[in-house]
Amino acid sequence: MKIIYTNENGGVNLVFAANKKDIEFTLKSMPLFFLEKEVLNNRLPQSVVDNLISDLASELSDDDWQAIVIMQSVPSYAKDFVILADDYVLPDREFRNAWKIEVNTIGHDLDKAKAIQLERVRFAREPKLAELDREYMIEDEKGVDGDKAAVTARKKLLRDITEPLKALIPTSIDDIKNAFPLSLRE
Amino acid sequence: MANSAFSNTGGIGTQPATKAQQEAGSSNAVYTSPATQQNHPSANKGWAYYDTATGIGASYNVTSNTDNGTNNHTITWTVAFSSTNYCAVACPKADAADTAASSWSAQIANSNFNTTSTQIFTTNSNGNTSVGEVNHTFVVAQGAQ
Repeated sequence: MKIIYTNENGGVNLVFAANKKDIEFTLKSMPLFFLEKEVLNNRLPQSVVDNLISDLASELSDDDWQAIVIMQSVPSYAKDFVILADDYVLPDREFRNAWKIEVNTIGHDLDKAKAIQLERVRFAREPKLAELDREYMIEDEKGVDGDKAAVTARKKLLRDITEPLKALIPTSIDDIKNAFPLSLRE
Repeated sequence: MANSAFSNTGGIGTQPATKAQQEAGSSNAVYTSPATQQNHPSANKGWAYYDTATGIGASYNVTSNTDNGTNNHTITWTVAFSSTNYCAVACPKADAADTAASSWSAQIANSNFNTTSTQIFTTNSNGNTSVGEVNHTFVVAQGAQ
């Protein structure tokens, strides 16, 4: 079982429930005192504890499993939580922090995705800029024979490499994925 | 000379330890039963192995693993700890070639370290949390419930 909800920052939290049998085993192995405490703290339905007391061989129902997961893992501020269909395939995680809830599925906030991609471009550019700084110093030490202008031109190209992405008005997440500069791909 | 801990047993008791006796961990007059063994301070109180993309592989005393974002997860305990004076440890698992996790580490969050849940951050050595993700993580916790 997977549940999504919008968090306080507008992002999406994805709850992966533990296996129903594992939760059932945990509950059956716990002293009653512990379970009653969780009922008092509104973390377990009373009916689950009652069922366990009356028949230790009873199995946790799907409804009880779902109720426990929601009570314990979905915060009260999450008004928009959605239980994903069992056969729903999660999107790839390349732009995980740009996820947003779209009806009963996960979509992408394209502005956030663009900002993430820009950060990645800058991160990939960093070592190349450092290398050009080194080359510039070498040319500088050569004095009149040095070709600092050529290195400067390459540095400007690298600095401007974010401009196409900055100017992009994406209509899909693929537009942003494809906007990563080829020259920075390894 | 006999070790005092062993010379003092006086035989095994016929009554199972209560929760308090098991937590105290000092009685030789009662025995440990499956129902109370986990109350001993040395016992593991919860654990999980989770995959970042597909969720929990196996667990005990865990209700869920919440993916809060890249390299940011929360484990929710089915039965809570009695206070935040408990110990939680998390560790990334290496990839199949035993290389990918070598530069990753896991941290237990300070701000969201609660009796009911434990938040875990994973970071790589370059310090940039938006580049890459840990695939698998182990977490265990011990303390009083």
